[in-house]
Amino acid sequence: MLSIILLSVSGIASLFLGFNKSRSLLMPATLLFLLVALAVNLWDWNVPFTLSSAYNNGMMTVDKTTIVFSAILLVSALLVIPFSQNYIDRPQAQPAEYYAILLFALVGGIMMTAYDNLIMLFVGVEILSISMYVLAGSDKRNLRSTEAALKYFLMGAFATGFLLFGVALLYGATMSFSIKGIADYTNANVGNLSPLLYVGIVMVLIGVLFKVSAAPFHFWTPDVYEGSPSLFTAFMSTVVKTAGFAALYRLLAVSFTGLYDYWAMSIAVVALLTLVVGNITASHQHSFKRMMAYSGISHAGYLLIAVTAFQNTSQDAILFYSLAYSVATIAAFGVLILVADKQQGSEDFSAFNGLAKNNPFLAFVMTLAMCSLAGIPLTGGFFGKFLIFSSAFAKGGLNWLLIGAILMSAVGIYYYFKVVIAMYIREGKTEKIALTGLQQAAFVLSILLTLLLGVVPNLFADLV
Amino acid sequence: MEKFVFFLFATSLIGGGLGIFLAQRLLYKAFALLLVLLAVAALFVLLRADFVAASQIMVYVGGILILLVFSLLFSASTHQKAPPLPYWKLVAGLLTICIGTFVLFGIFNEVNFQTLHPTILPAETSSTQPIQTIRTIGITLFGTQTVAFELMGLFLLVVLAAVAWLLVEKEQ
Repeated sequence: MLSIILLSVSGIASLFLGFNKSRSLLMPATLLFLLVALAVNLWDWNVPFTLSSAYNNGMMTVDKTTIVFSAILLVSALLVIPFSQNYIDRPQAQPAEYYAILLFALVGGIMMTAYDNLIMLFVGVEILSISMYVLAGSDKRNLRSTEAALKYFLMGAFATGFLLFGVALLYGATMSFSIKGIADYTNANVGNLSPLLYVGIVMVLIGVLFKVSAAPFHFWTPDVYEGSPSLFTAFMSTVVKTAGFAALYRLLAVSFTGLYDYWAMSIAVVALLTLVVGNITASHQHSFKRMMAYSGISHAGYLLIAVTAFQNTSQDAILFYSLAYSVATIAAFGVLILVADKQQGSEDFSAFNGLAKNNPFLAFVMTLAMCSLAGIPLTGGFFGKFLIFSSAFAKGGLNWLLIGAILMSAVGIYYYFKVVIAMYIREGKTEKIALTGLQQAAFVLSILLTLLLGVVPNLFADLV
Repeated sequence: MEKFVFFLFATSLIGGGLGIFLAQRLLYKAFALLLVLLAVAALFVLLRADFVAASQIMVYVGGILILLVFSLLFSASTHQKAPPLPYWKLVAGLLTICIGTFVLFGIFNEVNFQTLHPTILPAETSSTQPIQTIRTIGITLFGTQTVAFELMGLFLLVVLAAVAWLLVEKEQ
């Protein structure tokens, strides 16, 4: 809760910093704001539950789960910001506005992880989405970027309509916007539930599944991810996805536990469909960025398996997987931003040819990120997948989904290693790429996190 | 009496829907839309949702419809005919209107309008006093929903900052 206030204020502060002629202050200031917000977020760790929800009329909860989810969002933002250097050095850039919008977007993301009331969910989704529509189109001179923004906006508005209609129907059925009030209604009226409730659940689920780009609501993802500036694609594919899954799981776990049989099968089918569509389509892409978009879809599929499993361990699995996925994705996009800048903006696999010769560090970071995304042991991604699969196995009856998921992760190894092969084996010429100190720090932090998650997973898995 | 009023506005709602659908000229379609929006506002009044009715008229009739008519006047001749709809759109639209008609007449048969009251109102509102939903909405917005209300303010700030950023070209 405090972190939301702090981020709103610091967003306004960074708008005011934009009056300053010098741009050199903006990035350090934003990083500082984010660090303070992270510290303030962790400050609430031992606050008893009742106290934290009392001062906002039961609109939000601050507990350990929401704190960890918010921390993942903030760490993702911290890792993304250093790569904005090349972007803000351009003469036409207006960095103050875009840092401010990033900070505001995080407010929306944190609301989505901690909401207790469907109004807060809606406002959170909207704050995050509006910011993302604008950031997707921030490269104003680029037609692809404008197209991405318009596509994202139209599709997103459509999904928001579904979400809002669903919320209205849930309210009509249960007379409550509070997710705990909805749970009370469903528990009190077992066997006699209003048909509006069922329609409402489906519509809310469609709205949220759209935001996390699960198939068949994924069709906007590749074009938007490819057209947006890579920096914001990194932000979109990590922060929006983590916040979306936090929101989805929170809604299902608090409100609709009693209706598991109603929604579980549809989520399971969506999970399998997402995995198949994401992985198969990713395997024949020429553009690295487009491949990452489809791989983002496929990771939504893995996370949906954890949602379907709905065990005590599922939430930990989602947390762990989101962190591992976010760190690896940001590292990969970081390398892409630096390489594409040297290769006249080319974002194909061929841009990486021979990268290892002159830039062994970048090639190593990329290899580790790809291993983590593919789920190779000793990286975070492996234990993320392991936790998700074991929670689904413990549930039982989901073996068909597990078999599909394991087959699809084998497909994943194929396309993730295409870029590794390009970097180490293909001939190519990339001159030495200079890194700023902050970029080095971000890479080192992501390497450390990926390896720590992979070697000593208990450090994180038992946290919540 | 209430039944009669409901019947009147439900019929004009359906008529307006058909009008949007079947009218040949774009301007007539816009006028049919006006009929639909006004009828919906009247139905809100019948449901004792005066605030929603007022905002329906202000936002949709006063804002969006005016914009629509203006853009029609500026972009096309008022005599211009709309392109004919494809077959599946005709079927889908007629189906939607049929379902709407079905629902409205279901309400007409089932609901007793005399006893219809909003169920979520403070206890102080008695049946002798006129119902004021605006007062309730105000108290709720600054009472239990303060956090959401404040964050809507932040949302609008994001929109403002974003629009300023998108529209203003930096001087070189």
